[in-house]
Amino acid sequence: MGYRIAGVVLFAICSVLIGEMNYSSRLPQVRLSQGKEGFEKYCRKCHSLEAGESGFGPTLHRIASVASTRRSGQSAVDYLWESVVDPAAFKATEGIMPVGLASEIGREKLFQIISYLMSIEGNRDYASLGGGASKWQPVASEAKREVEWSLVRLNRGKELFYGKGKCAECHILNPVNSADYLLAPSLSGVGVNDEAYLRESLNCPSCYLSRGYRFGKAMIEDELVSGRLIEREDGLVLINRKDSGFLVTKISKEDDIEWSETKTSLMPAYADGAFSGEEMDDLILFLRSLR
Amino acid sequence: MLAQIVLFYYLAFCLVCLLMIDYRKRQGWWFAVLLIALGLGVVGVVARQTRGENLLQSILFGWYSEGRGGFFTRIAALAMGVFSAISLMGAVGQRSWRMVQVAALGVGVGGVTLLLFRDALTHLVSDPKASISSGFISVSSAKGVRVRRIDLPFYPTAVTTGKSVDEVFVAGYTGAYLQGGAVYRYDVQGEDVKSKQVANGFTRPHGLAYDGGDLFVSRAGQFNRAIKGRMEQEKTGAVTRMKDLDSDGVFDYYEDIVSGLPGAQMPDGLHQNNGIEIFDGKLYVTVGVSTDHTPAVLDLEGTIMRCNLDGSELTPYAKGLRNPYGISIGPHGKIYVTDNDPNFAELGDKFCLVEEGTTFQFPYDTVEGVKVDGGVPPLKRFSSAQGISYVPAGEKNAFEDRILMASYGDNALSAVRVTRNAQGAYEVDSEFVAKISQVVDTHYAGSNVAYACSYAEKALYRIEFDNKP
Repeated sequence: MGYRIAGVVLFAICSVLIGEMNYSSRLPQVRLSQGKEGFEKYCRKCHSLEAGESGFGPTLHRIASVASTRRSGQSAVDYLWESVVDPAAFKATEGIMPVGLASEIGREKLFQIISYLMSIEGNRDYASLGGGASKWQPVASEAKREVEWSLVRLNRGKELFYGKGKCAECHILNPVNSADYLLAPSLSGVGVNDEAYLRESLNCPSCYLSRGYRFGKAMIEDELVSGRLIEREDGLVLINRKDSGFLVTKISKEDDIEWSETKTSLMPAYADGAFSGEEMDDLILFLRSLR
Repeated sequence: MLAQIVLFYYLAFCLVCLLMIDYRKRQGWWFAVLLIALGLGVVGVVARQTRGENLLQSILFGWYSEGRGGFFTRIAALAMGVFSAISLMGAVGQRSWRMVQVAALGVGVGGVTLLLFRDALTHLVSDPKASISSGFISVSSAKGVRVRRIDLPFYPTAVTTGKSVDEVFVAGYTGAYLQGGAVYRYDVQGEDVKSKQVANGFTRPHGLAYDGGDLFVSRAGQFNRAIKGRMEQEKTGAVTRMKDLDSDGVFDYYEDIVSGLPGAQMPDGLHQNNGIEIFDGKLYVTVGVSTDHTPAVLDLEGTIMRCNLDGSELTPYAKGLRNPYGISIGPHGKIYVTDNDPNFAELGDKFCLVEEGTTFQFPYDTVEGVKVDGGVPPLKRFSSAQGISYVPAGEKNAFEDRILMASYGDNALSAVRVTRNAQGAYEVDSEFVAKISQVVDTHYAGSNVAYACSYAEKALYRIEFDNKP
């Protein structure tokens, strides 16, 4: 009987230990859909996942493999954590990561985003993610000071966004489907960028073309048609705004129509005095609130 | 859930086998080692799949959070594990615990049967006369509070009472996936409970109010049109006033007194116009925004709307909310609302005092590290706050002049007291009333009787307070 009881007790203790070991990690459960959503929101604007395609930042195509070779002795996961939390530690390419992005994203969401990036190549071993997640704490430069935002100014900025600025005619804050991205990227989450970036983007939109957005023009029956340019195998499409919908112009390769790509965004530059200085400040404050 | 079933089964199986092994035989040790390896392997696999959760807590208490279904699943798995172990040991020549084996089989089959037919069996097994507990799981409650449970054939969303404290109206979904919106009337007199469907044809009825024989339903749907390349969302939110013309108890005249509210728009299609309240001849309607934490786009989003009972003079009474759900008149003659917090931050649901013209701070108060200058902050944040209802001052029970609050996430009904300190500032504290799983709405009927409805359990709770002289 003593053996039986000892066996049962040993078994129970081992079960408890395994359960508690799991608990002690205190990691969030991996949810790839959340990671993908986080990537789209925080990273996609600058980073592509496709081969050879890049925006402000380098492509993250096959990043799990690439990251493991960046720095000797550093795992892919550790490298990815470091790249977001402390971008200055190692720069693979030229470019600027937004200051304090890791703090904006938050530890748990970052965990999901990196899990997603690691999973793209079929890697489902998330155990190593725990190390990075548990080690990371916001560094001093990221520690956020509490700032005070005026509700009056925020509401003025919102009114400018939907009214005088006409921003909402192309930019959707709450995208529902891909039609909401046809003319311009969603601005959901744009507030993670710093004030300087937002100001420059408003003053010179053509200087900061978002990844995936190209523009073109063509003469069709003596009429100049311009818009967002999407190249297809059988030709191209130019999309522009018309009333509350879209004007879509298809140009076949067989058509004898000359077209050209431009580096000029459809978005008007606001540096030409469209807004007063105060209005510009209010609009930027509103944009910064979009997380 | 599947992982937990496997875990329970194998834990019971291994433990019983270990108890039954004859260790004097040489091969008994091999079998014991094999069993321990098998059991630990299963524990390890389950632990890996439930990363981030306390496996032990999940095992021990998961039955509660998952309701009766989870409880019976675990009991059935455990019993079948015991049965399998005894059967196996009997087959390999070890001593057979015949009585335990039969009992385990009975419990296992019984558990599975309850799972399959639990809705029908609940009525047979539960005790409708019980005052403290009913159904399969006991309900804990505060001292002086008696709770009685009434099973519903649908998922409830809102509750109110009619011409007496025993006439209860419950709205909810009778179909799958939030479909089949209807209202049932329950006559809860003595031990007999009579029920009848008195209105239907709604989508998503999330608010109820009763006035002079008429019933008001806050409801919304989703309807999109594809226009010039874009999906345009129609404004489907409405408040429908219903009349019982022939006095047969069924409402047969429907009229939208309020329409054109945003409704359940995407991307967050769970937000819509929710709770409603009638006070001083006016109807107050809560209206949610269509997003998790971005600013309201439409004028009426994130507001409390007020109008006359015929729908005229509809105007925003307050704005700057996210998805207000519960609304009630309360202490100091003020209107109070609960407002659900965003998913991305989980800051806690708001409990707000609303005055005419109030502007709250959503979504700007969701930005970490930002203090909003202007607007009105909530009185308090609770981990979870849905429907609310006022127990007027002067009622003869321990909760007079308090607001009953349904805390869906906390599985509890609580009572909130709002007082003013010497400086005139409002102070809020709360106390426990009763444990009710996923309680979504509550209504104080008067005469020391309140009701609450549980979404998870598909149940209406009648809560009676002891008389306090």
